[in-house]
Amino acid sequence: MDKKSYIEIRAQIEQKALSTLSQIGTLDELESWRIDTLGRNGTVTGLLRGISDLPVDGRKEAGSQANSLKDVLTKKYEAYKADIGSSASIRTRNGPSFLDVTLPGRNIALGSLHPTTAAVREICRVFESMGFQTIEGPEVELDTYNFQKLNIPKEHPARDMWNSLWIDRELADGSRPLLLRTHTSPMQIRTMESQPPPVRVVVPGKTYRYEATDATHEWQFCQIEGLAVDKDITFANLKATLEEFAKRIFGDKRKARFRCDFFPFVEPGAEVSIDCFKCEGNGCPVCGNTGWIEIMGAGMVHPKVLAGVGYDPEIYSGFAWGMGAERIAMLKHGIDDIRHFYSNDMKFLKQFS
Amino acid sequence: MKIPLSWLRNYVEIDSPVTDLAHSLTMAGLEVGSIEHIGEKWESESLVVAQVIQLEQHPNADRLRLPTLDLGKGEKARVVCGAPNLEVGQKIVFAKEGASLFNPRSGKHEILKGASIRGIESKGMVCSAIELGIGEDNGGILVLDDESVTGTPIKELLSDSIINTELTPNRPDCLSVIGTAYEIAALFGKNIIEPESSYQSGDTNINDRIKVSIQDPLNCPRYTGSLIENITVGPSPVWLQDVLTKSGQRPINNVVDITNYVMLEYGQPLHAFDFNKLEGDEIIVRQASVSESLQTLDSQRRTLMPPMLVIADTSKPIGLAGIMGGVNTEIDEDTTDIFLEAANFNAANTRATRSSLGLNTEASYRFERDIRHELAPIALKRATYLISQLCGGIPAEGIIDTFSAPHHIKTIEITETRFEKILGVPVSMKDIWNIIKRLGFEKIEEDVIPVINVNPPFWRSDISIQDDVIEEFARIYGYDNLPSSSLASQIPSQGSENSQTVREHIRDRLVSAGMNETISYSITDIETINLFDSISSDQQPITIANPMDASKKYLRPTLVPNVLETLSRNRRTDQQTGLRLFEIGRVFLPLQTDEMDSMPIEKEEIVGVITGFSTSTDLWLESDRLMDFFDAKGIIEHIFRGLSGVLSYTKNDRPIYETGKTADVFLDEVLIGQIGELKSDLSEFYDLSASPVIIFHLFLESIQKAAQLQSVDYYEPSRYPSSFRDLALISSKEVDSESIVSTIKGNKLVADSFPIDKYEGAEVPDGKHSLTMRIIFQSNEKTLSAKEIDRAHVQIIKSLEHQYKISERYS
Repeated sequence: MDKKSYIEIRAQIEQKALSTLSQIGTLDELESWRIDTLGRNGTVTGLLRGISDLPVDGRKEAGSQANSLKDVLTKKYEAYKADIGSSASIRTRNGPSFLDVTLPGRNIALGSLHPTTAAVREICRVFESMGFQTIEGPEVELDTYNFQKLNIPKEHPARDMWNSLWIDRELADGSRPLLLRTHTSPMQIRTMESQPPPVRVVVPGKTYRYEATDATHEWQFCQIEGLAVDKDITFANLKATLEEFAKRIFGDKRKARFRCDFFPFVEPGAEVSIDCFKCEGNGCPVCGNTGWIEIMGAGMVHPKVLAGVGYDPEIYSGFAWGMGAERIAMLKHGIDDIRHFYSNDMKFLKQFS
Repeated sequence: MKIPLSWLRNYVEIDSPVTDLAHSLTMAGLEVGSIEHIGEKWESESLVVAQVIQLEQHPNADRLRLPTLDLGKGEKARVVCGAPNLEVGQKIVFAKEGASLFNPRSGKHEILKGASIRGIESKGMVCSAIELGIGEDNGGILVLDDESVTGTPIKELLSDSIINTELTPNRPDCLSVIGTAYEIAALFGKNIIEPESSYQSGDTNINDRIKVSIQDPLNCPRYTGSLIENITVGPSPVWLQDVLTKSGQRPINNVVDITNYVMLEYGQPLHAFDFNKLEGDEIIVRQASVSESLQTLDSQRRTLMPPMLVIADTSKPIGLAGIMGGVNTEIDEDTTDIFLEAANFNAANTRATRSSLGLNTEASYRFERDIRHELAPIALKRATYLISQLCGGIPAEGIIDTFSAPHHIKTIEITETRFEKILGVPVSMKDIWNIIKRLGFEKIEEDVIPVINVNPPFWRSDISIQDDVIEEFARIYGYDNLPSSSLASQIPSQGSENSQTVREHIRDRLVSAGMNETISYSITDIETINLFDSISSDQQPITIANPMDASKKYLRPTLVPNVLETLSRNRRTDQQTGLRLFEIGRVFLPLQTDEMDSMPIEKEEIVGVITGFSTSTDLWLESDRLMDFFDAKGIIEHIFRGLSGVLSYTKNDRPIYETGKTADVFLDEVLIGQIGELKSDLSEFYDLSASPVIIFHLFLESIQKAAQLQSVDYYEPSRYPSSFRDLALISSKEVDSESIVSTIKGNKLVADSFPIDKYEGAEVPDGKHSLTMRIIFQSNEKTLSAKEIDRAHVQIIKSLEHQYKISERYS
């Protein structure tokens, strides 16, 4: 026998062994297959014995090939043995094999995005499609950016709207320059300071407040800020943009409502609500019986804020908004307690896979 | 602020239902948080005004009496009553059998039934305020005004609605009933009725009795005062007690009640001093001296310091300016002469003082929101009028008005063009003027032309620029009545934001690998920082000065413990399932600088942990196994598929990992993180020792240095068949599989190669193992012949022997 025919024989043996194996349904059949291939007089054993018939220079390689075939088939045998031994497939001695098709399929581990992340992505995607760019900013901020440049001077009573967690550092005058940002609004300033108009950005990020935690309040949460500044941007644009947002997130039927509200860095200021998607505005526990659900604060960028970053408020105008990502997620999924978000219970998180 | 509708009606006509009123106010920026309805359940038949016409002692009980009541329309009743304040002639509230009343003992509303009390039949009862649900128990029955007509249903007399406004900090003017009335007037097109405040003064001139000097005009721009002599301090009339109670204030005595009433009416805090307790004839407004102290009306002794502002007489402080009066000049039942103060104090200084003393009062709440000094004399005169009417005193002639820092209302130019530029719709000045005039604006020009100059109402400290006026117009016109139109301006150029795309790719890959995303709090405690040795000992972690929880006052310098904590918490409630979780978040590292306002370094980390069984629901199919290092490594490989850069691993022991079971991960030449099995003492610490915990800890910034989203470079797939050979090797354990693969791949006919089996045992010498490699041969140019493959195969074995002293297993 020459080397070439030896390789062919090996391939034939392999093919036959594998095709026979695939027909096997019982342990008895498997055992006789083992004897036929791997047993003392089996085909593979014969192949190994045949090595000595080969010319000397080919023996080494042929031996290696035959041994690896033996390894492969032995493994297959073990696997089949385990398989037939298990209850997975029900095979009859003579008839065709069949499966209990109602048994569960093999589990493919499915991960999940945190609902806050999912909400942030969904919200940002809506604004991105309107030409806004998603950017991020620092979580530890300067008082200057978190408050002062947003038209909230020191000792201004509006500071009570954002109870702050201060970083333990003091300037010579005793004031604390650093805090955990209480909102994403400082990025309005950072963005405008870093580029000339036009501006269209959406800024998601963690924010922090010194606030007791309850079903609707978390001291750490994720806010999504937005800002558009250019010549001729108007309150009518603010309304249209946020109405469109409300429809895309909560459905085509949703109406947005705008009422006057106060934030020192906008004028006019607004609170945006949508008509309750649960009760269609008739009043239910979700909307606190008002028929309306608050979703964000918004307004036209205050001329002082524009002037502060070197934009001429006589030429440029803009609008801004801020909303809580968890709040949007709670409304969408009917989550009744914000504390679920940071308790990280898998039983909660896996619902969002 | 709680405002009874009955009080509001004194100043403005209200002809719409209270719910409509509340809605309009809310839409205009004065959010009505709740509406309280008083007497909603009262029935006209069973609750009426009655007069006590006779009072007998109960024959069998000392504390009970038997009033005979005139119920009007000739009807009379005799009942049993235990109230000590019952007197003949009083008008009271009588409840007939069947009336629904609040029972303070059971805490529920109950239907009144007739009863025999100590042998006397009693059908009905005389009610207290608490039984009617309109006030607190003042130790007796509710006595009505003498003018009340017997037989009148109580519903007509006392039912009311109280709106509770939740005000934004820019509207101190609406911390008052009249301010709120102005809003209603503007919204519904009504006029304001100003209250009475002119009084008859006596012969004494106030300037002969007292003077006021302001030593700190910056913090006290205006101080007004009046003097009222020969008053009688006592309880306030019923109507005044009633209106204060409904507004959430506790009635004290007539003088104090009037100062509170006028504060709520105008939004201007007032304070009455007992004139005879003042030393000297001068009131001085000055900064406190160091360590000066004052016992305030809440009985606390407070240590003061500059620049806190005090009201003082010639020898001592008598009040904390704009916050609270002092005990030493408090009004009591013997007071006959009072000095009444209505002043204006600086907002920031008031706020700083009240926050450092922790003393938040109705007065400080208003002053820190910047109320206008013009209110002071108006409120002063109103209160003086009421005191002269209700406390029987005689006001001195004139008032003190020390007006040290006058400021003028700034005239604002408003133009139709600006309105259109901001609102996006043309508005005529006629429409603008028709709305803002009702809010109290005044115009300079006679005519209404496209550009006019206006003076905002003096009580509106929040209006100073044209855009403020635009908001005034818009909110009364109704935001919902303004048009919408889509953004039409140009979209700015954006560039590519690599940091987010890479991070989001990784996040998606982690989820697709079966990992659950978690988000934890950004804080940690000092024990954890030390346990993980996450910053060098000469550095201070970033510390929160006013933490929510004193033990967790540091910003986390590493994300690993947060994720382990999450894992541990989940393991506590679920001992079975395999857990795979990750978090992507920022860590905060101190800056090596002495600059107090330099910002800390924020870096994003990616931490994944896996532990427990690899599968859970398919146990019926095959036996399960515990997840190990290679599961975690598989996840990392899964992440980086699709990113540019080549991954490699170098053994390197790091403190939190088991020795020998950890590696540094490199992307190209950049160290991007670690992977390893958590050290046993740490897994015990976190209660996670049931199965190995594998962590990967990656640094996003480093990944970004090396990786980008891969733009796939297409290559033409070979048209020729591939074939494979398996090669069993005996190799020293020192040689890692990656080196072997790279040697094999060095052969130009090899398309791919990877380990398919690893074996250690009897047939293999000590220190060595058997590794079976699958080698896939393929060419782009032709079908390889067996001879060519044989030749390559031999070359590969030779190279392995040469480089690593690896031999073939079956040779």
